[in-house]
Amino acid sequence: MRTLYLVFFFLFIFLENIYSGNESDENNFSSWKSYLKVELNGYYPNGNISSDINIRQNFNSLGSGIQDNGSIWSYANGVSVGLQCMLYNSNLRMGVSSGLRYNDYLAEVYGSVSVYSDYFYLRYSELDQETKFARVEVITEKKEYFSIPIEFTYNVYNYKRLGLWTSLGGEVGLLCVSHETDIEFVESKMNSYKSIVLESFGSPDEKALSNIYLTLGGSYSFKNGAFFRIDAIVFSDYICSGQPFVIYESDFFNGFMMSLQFPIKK
Amino acid sequence: MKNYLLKFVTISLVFLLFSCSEMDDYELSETVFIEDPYFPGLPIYSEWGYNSFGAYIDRVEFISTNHELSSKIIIENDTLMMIMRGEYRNETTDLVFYIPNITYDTYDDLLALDATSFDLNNPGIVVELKQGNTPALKLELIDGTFSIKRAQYLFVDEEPRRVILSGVFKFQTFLNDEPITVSNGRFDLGYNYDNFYKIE
Repeated sequence: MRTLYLVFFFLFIFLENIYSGNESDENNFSSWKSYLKVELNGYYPNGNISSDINIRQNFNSLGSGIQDNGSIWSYANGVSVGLQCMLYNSNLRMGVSSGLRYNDYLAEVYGSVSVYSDYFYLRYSELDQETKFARVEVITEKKEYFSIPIEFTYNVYNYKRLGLWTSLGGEVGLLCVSHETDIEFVESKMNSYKSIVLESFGSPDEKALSNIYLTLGGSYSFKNGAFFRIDAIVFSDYICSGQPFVIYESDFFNGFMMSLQFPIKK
Repeated sequence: MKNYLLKFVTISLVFLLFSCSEMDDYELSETVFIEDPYFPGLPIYSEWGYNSFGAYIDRVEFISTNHELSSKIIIENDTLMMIMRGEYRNETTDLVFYIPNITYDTYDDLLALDATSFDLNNPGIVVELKQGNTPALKLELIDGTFSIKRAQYLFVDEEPRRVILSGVFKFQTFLNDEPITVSNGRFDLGYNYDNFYKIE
């Protein structure tokens, strides 16, 4: 719901600005310029280990004073490269852009059951009178997909060659190139049980991620009209159904977006 | 200098010789304590072989610790003796259940206890409490049950390692001539050659 309010608010400001600009200056619509935007983005999904991964140890000590010395860590990060075309109106100080993005995500779960080991116990089977554990060093998940980004940008403030920008963007998942999980066991003989172990915490889907985000950042303009921009993602939400990863539960992400924007001469 | 080098090499060799399977046997025998958010101070009820147990004796916790072996099972004279060793009021305390008419030879046979419940007032069943250095006290039970909800094998890397008994217990008894309640008892204990004894 918060996401919807944000979208409507930003669109309202955007359209209101265009409309009022149209009334005051009829040349506004003739002053749209095209830019080619080359981008490199980094994402840090915020979350924790999936609750479907059954790990045998106290990795969430409640301060009882009785605890082992093991630890479990998990993280996810992603990088994307993209090419977009941006239409920007310098009078209205607003722009809209779209294009194609390639996204590459990696999530990992690793840890140790004690200070003397570099593995943890993963429960992968639980029948009536049998519980089976595997000693695991690391679980990884990789996801690669293409998406179509759409961004509305507003230039808040300019000082000489420096600028302050905000953008409301979103990306629609287009095509999942690959999505797979893998696991490293302590015992090599367990490799023959890999598929059974991996299935115990769910199968990777073939969905490309869709999301929405709000950024705030700055730019530096060059003499030739091109500019370099770097933004921090200050708000985000996945708008696809379900979880984006199998081994890592995440509801939103942080990150940065860098781009070089070149004017396209007509 | 030579001595230091020799010591270093010896320690390294000992560490290397301490094989993986021995290492994970040790890890599996450790107590993993995950606190129950609904019953503070007690471990959660689990069926993972955490080697933990806990109960309230009136409102004071009696729980397993990591510095004492949490449990032993001794079969002697057709009686199963299950010892739970933990801490109560900062003292090492044993709670011992004697269950008659059980003649198991190995710890594998404990699987037969799956989904078994005992009325602690049945004849032949005895419960003892031993606190610190005081002699064991045979408890005069008012009422109580002891249930093994699940008995199962624990496999690691497809090798059987131990048998896990998980269950619950509660009873009312007298301590120092005062009626007390042992409530919300739960256990998740593993047994193998290290803590199962058959005495002829």
